[in-house]
Amino acid sequence: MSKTKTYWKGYSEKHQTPEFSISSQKEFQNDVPVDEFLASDGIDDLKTGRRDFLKFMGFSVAAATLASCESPVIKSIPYVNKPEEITPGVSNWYSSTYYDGNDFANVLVKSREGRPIWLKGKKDSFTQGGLIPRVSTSILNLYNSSRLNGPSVNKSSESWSSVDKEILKKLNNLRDRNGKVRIVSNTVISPSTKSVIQDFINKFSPSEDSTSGCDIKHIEYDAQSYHGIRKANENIFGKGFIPTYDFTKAKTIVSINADFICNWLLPSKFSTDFSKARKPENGWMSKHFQFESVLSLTGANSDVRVKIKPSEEILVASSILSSLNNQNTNSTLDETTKEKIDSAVKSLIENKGNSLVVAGSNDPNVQMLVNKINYKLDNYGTTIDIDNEINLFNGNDEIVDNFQKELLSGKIDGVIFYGVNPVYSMPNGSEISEAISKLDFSVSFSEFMDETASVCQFVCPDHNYLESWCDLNPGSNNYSLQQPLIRPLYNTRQAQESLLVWSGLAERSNAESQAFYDYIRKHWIDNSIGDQSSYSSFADFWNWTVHNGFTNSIKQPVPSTLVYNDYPIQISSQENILDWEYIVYQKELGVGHHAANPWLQELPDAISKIVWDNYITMAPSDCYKLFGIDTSNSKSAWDGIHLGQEEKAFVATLKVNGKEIKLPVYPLPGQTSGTVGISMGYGRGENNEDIGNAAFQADEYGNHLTNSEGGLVPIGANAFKLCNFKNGYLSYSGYGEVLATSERYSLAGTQTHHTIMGRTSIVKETTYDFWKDNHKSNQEAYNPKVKLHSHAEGGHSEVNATEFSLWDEHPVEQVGHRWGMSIDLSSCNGCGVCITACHSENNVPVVGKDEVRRSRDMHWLRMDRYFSSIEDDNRKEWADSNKVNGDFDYGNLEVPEENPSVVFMPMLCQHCNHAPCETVCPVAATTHSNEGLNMMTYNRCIGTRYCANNCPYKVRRFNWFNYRDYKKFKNFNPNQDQMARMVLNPDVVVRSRGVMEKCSFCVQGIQAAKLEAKKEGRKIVDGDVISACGDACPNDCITFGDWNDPESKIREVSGSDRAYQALEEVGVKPNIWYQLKVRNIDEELAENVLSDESHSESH
Amino acid sequence: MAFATLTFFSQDGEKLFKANCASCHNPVKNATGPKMQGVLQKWTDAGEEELIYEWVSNPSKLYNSGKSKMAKAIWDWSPTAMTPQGHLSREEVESIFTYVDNYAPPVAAVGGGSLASNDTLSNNSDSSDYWWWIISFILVFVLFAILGVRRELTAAVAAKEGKEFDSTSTFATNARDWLLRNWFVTMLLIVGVALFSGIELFGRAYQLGVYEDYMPSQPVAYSHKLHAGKMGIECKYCHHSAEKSKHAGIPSVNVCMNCHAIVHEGPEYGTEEIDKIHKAAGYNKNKQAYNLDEFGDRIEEPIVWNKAHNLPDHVYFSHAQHVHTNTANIDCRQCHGPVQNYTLGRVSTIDEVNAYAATDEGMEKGLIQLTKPLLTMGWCIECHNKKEIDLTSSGYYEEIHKRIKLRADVNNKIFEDDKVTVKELGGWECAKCHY
Repeated sequence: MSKTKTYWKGYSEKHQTPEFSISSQKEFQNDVPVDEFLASDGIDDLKTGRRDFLKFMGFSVAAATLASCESPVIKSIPYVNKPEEITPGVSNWYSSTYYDGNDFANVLVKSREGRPIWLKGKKDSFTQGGLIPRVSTSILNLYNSSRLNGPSVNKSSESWSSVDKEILKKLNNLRDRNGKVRIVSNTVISPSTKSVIQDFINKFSPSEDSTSGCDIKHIEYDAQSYHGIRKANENIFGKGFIPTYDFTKAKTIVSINADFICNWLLPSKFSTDFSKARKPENGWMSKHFQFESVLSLTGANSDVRVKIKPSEEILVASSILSSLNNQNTNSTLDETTKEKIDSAVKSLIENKGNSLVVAGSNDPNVQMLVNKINYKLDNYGTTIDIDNEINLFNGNDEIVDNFQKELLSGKIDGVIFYGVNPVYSMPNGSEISEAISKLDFSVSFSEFMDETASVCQFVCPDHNYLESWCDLNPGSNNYSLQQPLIRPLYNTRQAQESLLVWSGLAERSNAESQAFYDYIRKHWIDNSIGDQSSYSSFADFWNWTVHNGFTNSIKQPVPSTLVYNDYPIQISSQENILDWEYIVYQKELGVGHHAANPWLQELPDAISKIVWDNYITMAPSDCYKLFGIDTSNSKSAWDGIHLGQEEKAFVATLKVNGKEIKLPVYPLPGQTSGTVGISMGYGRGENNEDIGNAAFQADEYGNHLTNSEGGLVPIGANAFKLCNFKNGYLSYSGYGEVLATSERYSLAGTQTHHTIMGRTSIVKETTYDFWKDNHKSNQEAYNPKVKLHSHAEGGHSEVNATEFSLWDEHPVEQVGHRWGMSIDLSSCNGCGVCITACHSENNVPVVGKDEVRRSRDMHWLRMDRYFSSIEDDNRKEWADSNKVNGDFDYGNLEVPEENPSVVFMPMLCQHCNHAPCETVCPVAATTHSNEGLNMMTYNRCIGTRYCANNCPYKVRRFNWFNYRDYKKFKNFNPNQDQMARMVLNPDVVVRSRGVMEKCSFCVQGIQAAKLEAKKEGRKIVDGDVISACGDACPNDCITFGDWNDPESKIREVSGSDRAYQALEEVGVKPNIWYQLKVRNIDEELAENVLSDESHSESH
Repeated sequence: MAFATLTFFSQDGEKLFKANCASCHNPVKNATGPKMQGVLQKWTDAGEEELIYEWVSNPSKLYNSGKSKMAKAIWDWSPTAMTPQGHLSREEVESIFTYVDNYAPPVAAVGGGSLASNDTLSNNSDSSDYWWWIISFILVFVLFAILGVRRELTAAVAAKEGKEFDSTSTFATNARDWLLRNWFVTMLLIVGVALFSGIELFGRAYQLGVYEDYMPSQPVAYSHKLHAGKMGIECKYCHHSAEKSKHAGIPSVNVCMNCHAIVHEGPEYGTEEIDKIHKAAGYNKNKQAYNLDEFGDRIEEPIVWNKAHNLPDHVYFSHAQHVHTNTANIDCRQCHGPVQNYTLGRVSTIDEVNAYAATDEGMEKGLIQLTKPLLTMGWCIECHNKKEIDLTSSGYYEEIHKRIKLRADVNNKIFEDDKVTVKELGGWECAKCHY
């Protein structure tokens, strides 16, 4: 009985369908119709003859030459009064904090000549350098030219003073007639903002002086609710709080539908923490079980992944609890799941006190079960810190539900919306929209004329976070500061200042108003926030806090006196009336704040690799069934091989409680059969709300698509409509009907652009136990060197592939600098921050959906996602004969390829010392530097693309268009927008049409670091140079440095026992090393199919 | 021995002087600050030999303490407060004075006159070209007229003699017949014309994108000749980011105001041009105060200059790499020519640079003579091929040297000619400037 492991990027590759085999041999995905063109009769009738053509050509060349003789006069405007800390041409770094109600991260922002252009996580802070793509790309939101420029009343622009006057008139009127006013905001974690809101409430509430006053309340509402956790804690511990989860200490992690690496609760911190426990060199590795429905990034990183339906979350949790209590479980879960639960429980018990169970469900019952499990496992006080609370997501679903009922029944007179967009994110958005438009008084602080703002009377646009001062208290002890990086770009006013003005506590001055800044400082002094006593003066303390971006309060946490209460849990078995279960999940786009962010839209989904779209995820087998694809006959009928390119996806309709959502279907391996998933955050701007040009679909000429009424077509559909309030909480899953339609829809994906031509030596992995036993003695066992057969000297011997070379050794391998990079696949979790960081650092163009479909994405760094599954030969035989083979029935067992393991591999230019691209360039536009860089000289490139064809890693990108001014890209390429252009990095040229480009190892950074070292007269040391991807990586997967320095870190890790180079057998000697992936699984890894294949290939 | 120490100090002092003092002080001329030669003697004469070190480290403190007459004298002499140099040790300050007191200005006068004559010369050649064209046009006209007359005469003679005159023969047919008869001359002519036009075309094409002698007009008639030439203000006083950044930078108005808060009148344009600066800065010279708006901010108006030195977008040039004392430490005039002779910002020409490099001052600064036009890639790499790097000059290069020595073949290749050029360390590689 032999088992083999195969790696594949898509189902078609897995099954080696005939179409795939043909396509993998082709240079061009689409046929170039040369023969057709030449054979056409029309060619003889052409009026333009060859001679005419040459004349035109000659004239144009001459005209172009003459035109280029005239050089434009370039203007230069220096500062009038140059700020002391700014030197034009030199970047400044400032710490600040990102918070939008859904994500929180401490960041360091790079500013050039006063423009913020790039950011990374701040290492020494609350989020420990953690970053997610949403935060990484948030800098582009600042420059969105659809941001509102000044306040408006009923959509007509007004001045701030007249708006203030009218609002005060309304407010005073409401006070006089005891009106009911609600301030609806996202979770406010800013102590000063809370105080501002309280001041505002006090001003208009009944007071001692007068009995008349508004019934005014502040309601916190989160689009993605975490009410379940707070409610569960209230029931069990008597306090509705969210504790701090410590993934660095957890030896066993069980997650039930919680995507904590990318989306759940505080991913910017958890993803970093999780990765810290995934380095085998620590001496231990966490073991991670994931029970989930949609294959999430967290599931992809888990050691054991189990497919469950959303309705089974509670069963899984209760089974775990029963097993811990040694009770029998009679759940309806299938055998595979039960088996995996048993192994999870075994591991949990082994690591009692050092384990962690989390659940993504918003159902308080699930969360209570999880609390009980963690309590039973003594995790409180170790991996769950109840002394340090997380203050995010304070929304209470019961209060929110009550509010929306009151609003709909007309019991409310006025609402102020701050940082929320309920018309978009509430299940019954359209009804709410109608109710708001009927209100006597409605204000929105939105930066855009979004869904909610467009039905409000007054819109008083808030600053972007990079323009505002704010204090934030994300966790018990930590106070982070938001520091403005730029003067407000538009005529906006910070929401807090608006409230202060209306409360009569401040006066509106100019754009540089410091009203709220002064308020924060005063509030901090009055309440002695932070570690003030360690500094000689408040000014000193404040300056250091601004510099650091945060301060930790010195108040010792009061030892918690929480009492465990064994609250009874009702596990109601739901009637399975309908065939399908759906779940609304969060992915790269979050809850929709960033819908108009082209960088984020163009970031491929970590698993599906689809860009610019929303889709229904479905198990492939379900998909075949639903759309009637006969798989037994031939998979090529529709195997999704070109899905994301020319092949169009099937479209299905999901019907839930009379609501319908129609979306294309993406067959996602790993999806639980009988379930569908839809991501939230899409479908923004359904009624033409102006939230940014990139938020709408464009056709292949770059114009916005319009629907039958002439309105713009949003990207994807709004899945929030499928949520519902049930039993006092907001539920994100349920039952529905899925119906096939005859429509087809084009998705764009980067998934199948490149094939690896059967060279599976590109990824290597092993298990933790195997590594532990062998890493000192027998590295060859898990990190085998690729061998080639040599017939030299008449004999036959196996020789390491690296020892063969067509060329002489390159001198860079010893002298001068040699820049090298190492990427740890074990701690890389595929989040994609490296891609977005590279995108903004290197002015990589955004090409849009249509170009991605033509496999012309421009990412210099891509995240390759390989599925792998272990094939059991017996199963194949069983499947072939369809009967019991031997003594084992495989019939009910999971098919491995339907729940594959996933490996992520960041792939970028490998800067080969024997680079194949360099030898084929006819004009020497790509050459090797004496520092080991594979240089790309744009101004010399004539665009033959030989280099791209000769690159074994397929990392070169060709500029098919002038992305910066061709009309096709006008709606989403930031370079084409007067405002968004300011985000460009002035140190890197914007490439023009017809040239090749690729990763440069951030040569601008290398040159800058060398210059600094020269100025200081010292050698380059570790930490001087780091590429943008490595700098932004929240998990420190990327090591960068000078390999020729024997003391450097890169020299050390490149020689480590896990180090290998991708495709060693092609002998290109890359300057990038990978550290192979280590999984913490019990089963022995099956024999890797690669060893067989490379063996046969090399003959 | 003592002499050796002195040289050491003095060299050190030169470096320190250039890094810290030269932006305001000239050793022998009054600039923003007073000339520094003999200053130490003056303080010693005033009996304040010790106080001068306090002055250097914190001028305002010494002045405010009131114990120094010299401090008060300087304070009265100039309105611009000296930047405190507290980071300099006493030894370093001493070495600076040693350098300054031993400083001798370069003997050769800077060739202002020669530049002027160059200008006129080129003007002359332009106008004489023009005359040549007119003369040749007249000559061709006369030639055709004579030939026409000759043809008329021949026809007349033929008519008189009763011979048949071939009326179909024209200039063109005659010329063709002549050319066919003298085919060798024809061939020579054709080859000659082809060669000439080819060479001419090639030469002209080479001038495309060459902006030597480009001097755009400017909103303010600023004169380098006055500021850098006559007043001797160090380049890096105004273009102070040259050592820190890729841009040398057009100075911000507040730098102008360091002096022009007091200096309201210039020698050539009177108040006209300086008023423009005051307007930009929002400065009221009568009140000697800045105009403020209702929020207390200065009412400013930036000056829109025209950039003289333009490189294509795909070229990354860093001033800091070239002019910082620890990097290439190249004199500004190597690329910008004798700026002290220009008025507005202007792209110099290679001939001017070479002429300056040939002067004693240029030679003392180690300027290199080059052949290619300024701001072309040929010129960049020509210099990178000639400019030498002293591998013992800093810790950075010592490390590089150490590594070169690891490989005999590389080491031998680089040190074959006993010198290390920028090119040999990778200065000709594309990604050093193109990214």
